[in-house]
Amino acid sequence: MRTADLIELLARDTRVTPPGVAARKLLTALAVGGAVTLALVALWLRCQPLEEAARQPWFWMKAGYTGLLTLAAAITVKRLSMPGARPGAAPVVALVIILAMIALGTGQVLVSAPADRLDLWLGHTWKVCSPLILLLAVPIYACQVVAMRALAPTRPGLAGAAAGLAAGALAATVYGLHCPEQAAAFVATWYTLGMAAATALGALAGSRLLRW
Amino acid sequence: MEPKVDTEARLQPLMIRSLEGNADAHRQLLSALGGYLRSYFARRIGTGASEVEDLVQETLLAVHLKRESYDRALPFTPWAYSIARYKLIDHLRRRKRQIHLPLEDAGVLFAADDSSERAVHTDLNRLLERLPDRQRTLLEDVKLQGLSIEEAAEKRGVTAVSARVMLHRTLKWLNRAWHDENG
Repeated sequence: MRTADLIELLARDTRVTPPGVAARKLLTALAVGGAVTLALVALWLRCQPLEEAARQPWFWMKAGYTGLLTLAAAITVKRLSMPGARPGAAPVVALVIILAMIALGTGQVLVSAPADRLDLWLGHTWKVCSPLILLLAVPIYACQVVAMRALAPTRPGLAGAAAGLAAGALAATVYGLHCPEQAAAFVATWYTLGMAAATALGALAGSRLLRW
Repeated sequence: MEPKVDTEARLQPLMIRSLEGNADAHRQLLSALGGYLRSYFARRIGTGASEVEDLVQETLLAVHLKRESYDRALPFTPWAYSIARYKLIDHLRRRKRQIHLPLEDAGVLFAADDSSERAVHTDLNRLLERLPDRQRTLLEDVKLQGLSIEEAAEKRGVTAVSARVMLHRTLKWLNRAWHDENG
């Protein structure tokens, strides 16, 4: 087929593309994946008593950490899915949020009595926290990959990493509805570890799944 | 090298109109891009390389299918350049060649244009032969006989809408099959 023929063919397939369709698809992916994760937490893990928890600062400390991280990662995903757009400040903001949380957790350990430190750090659920966050991130990541494949990530590994972080952070936010842990040191370690694992696996899967 | 201001000023409005569904603008845009792509790829992989025209076609197909990834608030030429560069890197990787392709300014894509079409290497027609009959005849009616979608649909006794859907799906399939075959 000659290139001129191909262009003729493509011109016959001209379609209306409304502005903002890419952002809409990516948001829908987060919403659908997030709903699946929410259902898993509500029906399988069960939420903690939320009226009680919502009055506690630690509840919002956790939601703030993972929620802001979700936002920064989601913006990065969008930028990396649009050729020619620079990632901008969003990845830097994500890194600053993580470092701030680690500093907060470290500070908490340092000012606490040495006898309490291990309990603060490990809580009651440290063994299951990171793996559960990773598991809960899977549906969100899968939805994002579907949406991103319709777009054009020119750096598939990096875009996959950003999608993994967004999935891990949103999963951790939803997991916060269940998780009764209260210590900043706990969140800074085990939440962060779960999200880091999602980021790494997201990069690995992305470098294969997001090629086009 | 920044793209000449007039390149951006000429192509971006075409892209906007193409996104609004204007087939004429879309055709003009793809034709203009085709010339730039041919010259850019030839400079990068060798003027005589038999894959130049294939790469032009594959990239035009990607530009067509990935239009949703263009943000109207941003300039058009860096978007087109990023797609061209991605397709070139992908091509070199598949050929297991050394890849040293620095991220340059979009201007390198629009530095020169070359409208003399070359012979293709991977024949699209060969891929087309693998299509189911209905899809292939639709494509041939549109491509070889120059029928509009409506005319082609009427000839085959299907609605224009379903012919449109079929054409779009076929193009997506073609894009994937091309990638898989050369991967």
